[in-house]
Amino acid sequence: MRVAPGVRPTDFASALGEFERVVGKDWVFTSDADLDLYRDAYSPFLNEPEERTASAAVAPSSTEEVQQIVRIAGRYKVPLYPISTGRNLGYGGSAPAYSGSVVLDLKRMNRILEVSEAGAYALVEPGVSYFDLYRYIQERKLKVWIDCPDPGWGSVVGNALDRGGGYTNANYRNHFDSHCGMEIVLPNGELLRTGMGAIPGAQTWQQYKSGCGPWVDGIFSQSNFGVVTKMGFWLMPQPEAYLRGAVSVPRYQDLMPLVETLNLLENSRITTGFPDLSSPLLGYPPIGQLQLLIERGPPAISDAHRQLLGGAALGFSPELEAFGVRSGIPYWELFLSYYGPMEVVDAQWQATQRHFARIAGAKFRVVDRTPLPVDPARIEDYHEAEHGVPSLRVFSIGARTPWNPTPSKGHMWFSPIIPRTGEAIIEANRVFGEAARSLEMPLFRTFTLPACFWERSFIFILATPVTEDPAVNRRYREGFKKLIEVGGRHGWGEYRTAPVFQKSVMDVYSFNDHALQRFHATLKDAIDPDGILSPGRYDIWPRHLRGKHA
Amino acid sequence: MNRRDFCSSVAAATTLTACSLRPAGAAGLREADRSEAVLAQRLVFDSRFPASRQVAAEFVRRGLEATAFDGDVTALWYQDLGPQWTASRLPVAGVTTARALLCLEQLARDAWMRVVFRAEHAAGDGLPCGHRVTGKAADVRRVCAALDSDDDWPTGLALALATTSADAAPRPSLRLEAGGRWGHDRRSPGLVSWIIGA
Repeated sequence: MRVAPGVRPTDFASALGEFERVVGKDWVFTSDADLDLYRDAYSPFLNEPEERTASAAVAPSSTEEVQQIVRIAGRYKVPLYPISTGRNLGYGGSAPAYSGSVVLDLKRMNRILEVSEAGAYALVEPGVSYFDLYRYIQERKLKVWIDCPDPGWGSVVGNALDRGGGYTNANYRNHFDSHCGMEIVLPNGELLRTGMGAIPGAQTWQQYKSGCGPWVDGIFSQSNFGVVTKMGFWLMPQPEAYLRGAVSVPRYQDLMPLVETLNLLENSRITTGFPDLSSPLLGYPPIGQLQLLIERGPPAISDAHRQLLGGAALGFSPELEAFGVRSGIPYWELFLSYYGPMEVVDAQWQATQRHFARIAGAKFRVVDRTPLPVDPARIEDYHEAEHGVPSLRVFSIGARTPWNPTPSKGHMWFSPIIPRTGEAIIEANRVFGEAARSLEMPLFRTFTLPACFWERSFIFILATPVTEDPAVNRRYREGFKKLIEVGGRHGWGEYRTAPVFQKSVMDVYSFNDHALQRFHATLKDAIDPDGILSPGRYDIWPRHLRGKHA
Repeated sequence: MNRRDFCSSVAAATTLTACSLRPAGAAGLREADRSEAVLAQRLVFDSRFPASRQVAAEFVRRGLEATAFDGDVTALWYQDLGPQWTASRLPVAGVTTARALLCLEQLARDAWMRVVFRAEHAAGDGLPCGHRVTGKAADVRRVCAALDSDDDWPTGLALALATTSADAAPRPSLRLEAGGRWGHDRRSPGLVSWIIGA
């Protein structure tokens, strides 16, 4: 039998016995076969001794059972690692940050407690997936949309707590920002409700976020201060119509005013859909077609075009630009989406064109303009997530192809936040491109464009492969850490990362002698003095383990 | 509530949209082939690849059901496998790409199901197909022997999938190679045959 670290075998066995009395024998897992299910499918340590694994798993079905489990864990000092659906692949999956922890699997807590069409909100438990919520809404013909990542297989609560994002309107894309109200089991087993939920019989728990006094919700995201057992989310009312327009510009330097104008329009709420930046001249597709690029390679281009691409530095050469102008191939193309009544989205698109027209040579086209909802038979014509439809289509791509001859066993996401400017895009390409080449990391094969999940900033999301070769994986892990340091030296930090890199990432946030990390430690000592919950998550360690882990 | 009741309690209505092939008067498997173990009742297959279509045809010829999908597992899982696994945790065999299996393997965990048998196939132009088989020791040896002795490997594989136990215990413990050179030719997609069981 595996044993949690720092726990005597007899105490661990007693704890497991008490877990069984709470949840039933069927829902405590100790066999190797069962615990294999909690390995990280994309672990960069796959099959190496350092791979993080669970000593056991327990799956409660209610908040009350979670409270009992947490109290038992506290008595025996057994570290727990809560997961919702465990599909945070690329960011650690279901494996515990502290190897040997007992996974607290919240999958059975999958009740959708309320969906209000009039109020446009939902209240769900952590085991509810985006597919579950979508199915619930569709079956009842409610006129609200979810906002989901791609793939849409994960937990609504889990994704929000790791601060993930989606693809529809700006105020729903940031999943943590769109939450309203939480219920949390604290490490001492006590139950806490935040925001207006702290009022018994509250009538606005999912309507007003901050309640009164300090707004504590944020400390339960990307942390280990409590087990979230309920979470409210604001939902988008089903829009009447959808318009997708494209703005293309001919020159390399047009990137700067293109991004500047986008920012003005977004901040003014003239456009609120997911902005999708691409480069037809450089062969960089919009995000909805990125996977097709991996599958099929870039679109066929002439030999002359290919030669000019090879001679470009940081995506530019005067000859390449001239070729693009002559051939009518835009340097940059920005796709913008609008949701709302047809007369409103038409007016927003008109205003959009007026603003971008200040860029000489800017061209405009309407890619789509349709009443909503889209005919379900046509949904695959779209990037489904931009229509609030969860999809697994991304897994249809990845067969071995000439363009993708060695599909990996997974990937690790490198995702620094950079400023929302064209200059920052070029600088990030220069800095990370040089670093990746010197580290022999398979990133930045070409000029890379950021993703626009958030307003006000860009995410530079790139995938580092996980392979079957431990030596290669070791080199990539070390290279990844160096890239984190390089980013930090330029004032760029990650927004989210896997446990293996959480210390490296948090070390970048070092203002005033790591005041932020010291503050986290202060909170940890107060809230979870025995260090029961997720030791080491985002480099927040309990006192007895602090300073002992790389 | 035990595991079976839990899964039943969240079952939802489904409508199959993936194409299911049912045997029409085809000969069934010998009882001896299927009498004792828990076996996969149906095969899901990626219809884009000739080898997977051939496995499916053989499955149907032997009296079992095969369901096609075009590479995108969304409808297959949302409308078919997801509700089925929630309601009854029936084992399923498949021939798909590795990424599709990764996706289904992750989703199967929601019902505490897992991959109990896996065979990776790598074919190349003019080269015999190589196979890497992982599963319970007895199954792996039997399947490898069949793949080694049969140039028409999809046919042999179909019988193997139909007669390999879908029990999750004991845990897969052996990996062997069979057939031609193992490794992946750049011109051919790698397929994976598998069984997900409980």
